[in-house]
Amino acid sequence: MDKHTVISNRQMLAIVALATVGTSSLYAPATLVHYGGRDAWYLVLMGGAIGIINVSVFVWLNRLYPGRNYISVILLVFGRWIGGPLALMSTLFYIDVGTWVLREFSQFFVIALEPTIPIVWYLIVGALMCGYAVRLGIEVIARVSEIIFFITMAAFIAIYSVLINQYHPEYLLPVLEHGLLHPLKGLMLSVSWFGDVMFISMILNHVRQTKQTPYYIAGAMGVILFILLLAVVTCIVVLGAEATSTFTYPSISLIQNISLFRNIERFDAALVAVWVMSAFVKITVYFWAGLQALSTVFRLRHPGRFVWPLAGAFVISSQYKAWGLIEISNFYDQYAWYFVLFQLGLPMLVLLAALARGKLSAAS
Amino acid sequence: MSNHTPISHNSEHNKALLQEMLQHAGDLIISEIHPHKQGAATVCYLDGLSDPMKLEQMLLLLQNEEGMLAPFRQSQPIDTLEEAADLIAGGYAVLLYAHSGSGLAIHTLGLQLRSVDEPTSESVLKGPRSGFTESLQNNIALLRYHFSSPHLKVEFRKLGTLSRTNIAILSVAGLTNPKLVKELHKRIDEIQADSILGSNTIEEWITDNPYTLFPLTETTERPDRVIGALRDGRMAVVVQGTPFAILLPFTFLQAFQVSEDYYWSYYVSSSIRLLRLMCGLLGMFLPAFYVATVTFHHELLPTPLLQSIAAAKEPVPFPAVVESFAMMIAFEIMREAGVRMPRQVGQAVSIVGALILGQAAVQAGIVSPIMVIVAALTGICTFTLPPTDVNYVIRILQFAMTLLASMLGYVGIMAGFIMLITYMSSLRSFGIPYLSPAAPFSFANLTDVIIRRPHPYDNKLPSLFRPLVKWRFRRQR
Repeated sequence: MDKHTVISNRQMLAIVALATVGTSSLYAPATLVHYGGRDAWYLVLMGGAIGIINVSVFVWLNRLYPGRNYISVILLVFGRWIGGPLALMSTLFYIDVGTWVLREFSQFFVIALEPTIPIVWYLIVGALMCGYAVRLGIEVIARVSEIIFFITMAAFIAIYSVLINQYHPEYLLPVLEHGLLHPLKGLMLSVSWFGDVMFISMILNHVRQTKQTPYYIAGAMGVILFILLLAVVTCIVVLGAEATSTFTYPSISLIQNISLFRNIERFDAALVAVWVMSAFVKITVYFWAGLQALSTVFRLRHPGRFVWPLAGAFVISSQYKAWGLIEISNFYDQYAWYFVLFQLGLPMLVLLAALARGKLSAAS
Repeated sequence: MSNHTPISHNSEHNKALLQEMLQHAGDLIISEIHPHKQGAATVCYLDGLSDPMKLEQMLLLLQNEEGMLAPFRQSQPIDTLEEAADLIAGGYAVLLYAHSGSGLAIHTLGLQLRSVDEPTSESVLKGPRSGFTESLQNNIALLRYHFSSPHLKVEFRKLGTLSRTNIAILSVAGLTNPKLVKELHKRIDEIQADSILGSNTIEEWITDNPYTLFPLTETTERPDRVIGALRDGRMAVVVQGTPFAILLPFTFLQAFQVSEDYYWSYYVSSSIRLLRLMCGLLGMFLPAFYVATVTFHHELLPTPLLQSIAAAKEPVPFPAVVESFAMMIAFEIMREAGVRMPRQVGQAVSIVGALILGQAAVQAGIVSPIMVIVAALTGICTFTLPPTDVNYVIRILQFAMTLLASMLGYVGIMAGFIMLITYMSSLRSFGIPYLSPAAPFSFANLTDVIIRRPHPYDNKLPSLFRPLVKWRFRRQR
């Protein structure tokens, strides 16, 4: 499944940008402002810088082992005995992130849109949609992402542009009042949001690699940084830092402030559709990455047969993962290290081991 | 009887065998003639299928001083009686020379068919008014008239073991990608149908996926549309007996383009194309959007409008989704009745439809006025689209979207939209992704879908169909 499928650089950019921007623009402003206050933008910039390092690790690994995905690189570098458990844990991590995202968005739709619809319906619909896309393969996922990318980016920019008349730039002042280090208390969290690009480790060997590929990857990180920065700064200049940190979904609160021609308001229901699209891309790529990883670890001949059982597992895991939104928010905050460990820590370890192996082989 | 019965030296034997092969057809005419300076010949043809004037001309030529039958239009030598029977059934007059054991088939088809007229399904305000007819020769002639180029490649085939229908495969030599042409030939050669009832029979055989709701080929009655497709690097299949030519490959966004776009100024054409795209979206999503808003997301509506809708819906006992389905189904019934009914009762049905569906249903409290407006607007939006299969697909998908909207609101609509584009992204038409040029994205090709470039700047061929050349012409400054 998807062995010889190739996607273009532009499609890769669309997938990477969408998969990260969707969740981060929804949850990140509140938690980042909680740590950074009105200097949360600085936290975003620092997180972005580390995010670029994060993605560079995967690009480097891909250069060292072209044609191999991250899981197969782990197995190659560490061997079956050590690499096997590490690869399996990474596989479970992909699946775990997918289930977290499915749960958080279903929770979001219940709270923001329609509390009367049981959450399990959203979980089932989400799993079906994503399972169907995974069944069709990465090429289809890439094409859908291309279409969704323009709609989503246009919607984000429109949301933040329409609110210009409500901006209070003075809410950003004073800049870095407590110095450069104080806001960095939330750096781990910021890095974990940017680290969501880690699925790129499974996609890179399906990209038609050209000389422009690194630029497209940088471009994707640039888009993510821009949108997240825009989200955080807009929340601060419209709602204020204190208010932003108290809201569950500051971006939705922003949208509720939009008023066109005096009478047309409350676009939150319509614009939530934008998050449906980006959530779809994120869950789908992690679902796909998880399936690819499973296929590599267990050497599955027909990975397509595992799509629907895995979708069922997604629904069950998402349903019982957390008891509510507060637990989800707390988990992202308190256990950011868990995400960073698999997104940055382990890949760096793999890279160092691969480089050491390379040097040893060259020396011998 | 074998499949290769040679022409016998005994003319009576030939006559008897031909009668048997053509099932002793009552319209089969067989007569003996004695052309000048030649031996006796047996003339065989089907009365009614052959043009009497052509026959007379042929016979006069046979009788002339020279005695030689000059190369008559589309004549071909024949060696076997099976060939003779096949060609007679196809409208040829066959001459059998018993003395030499040879034969000659001469094209004398002169069936009274419809004359070239304006296409009924694709009328235009500005542009050519000629449309295809049921005659394959006429259709090819029309195409050559519009496209007088020696590069136009026309290849004939006979399909259907029973119907033996003639088809023509058209492409442009030096432009159309040979791999596409080869693939088309391969698929046509794989057709095992006994009869070709129309172009749709061939479409369903050669399509990449015969089970999909979405059409992967398109049909047209207009020669200019066929020429437009050929110059873009696409191919056409013209079928005898039907005025609809098949164009392929076909991508979804081409359903929003009409040939009339090229006959108006580019400002007008581009505006109308954008309007058509908007109408396509409204046609699919407007009822769903209404149901979702009224059922789940009232806060989106301005308060005065919300009050007005609430007051209008007060006497209606059904939920918005039931109203919506009722109106959409009623509209589809009216539309279908409008196509089938005799013209004399058309006015009566229009009055009944307007009165019953409109006023009476609202006054009886079955539907709300706003639902009538939504259904009518949706119907009108679908009328703006060209009468292709995509139009029907949009009408079918309206129902699915409305159902999803009734269950999950805007999230349901988005889920439906995402599933739809996911499915469409997986489709291909002769290897071309169905959502091209939106996905895979191509800016140059997409601009031509959304807007119509001025002709002096329309110098680049769409790369979607992988033509052999890149440029139509090079602009000279």
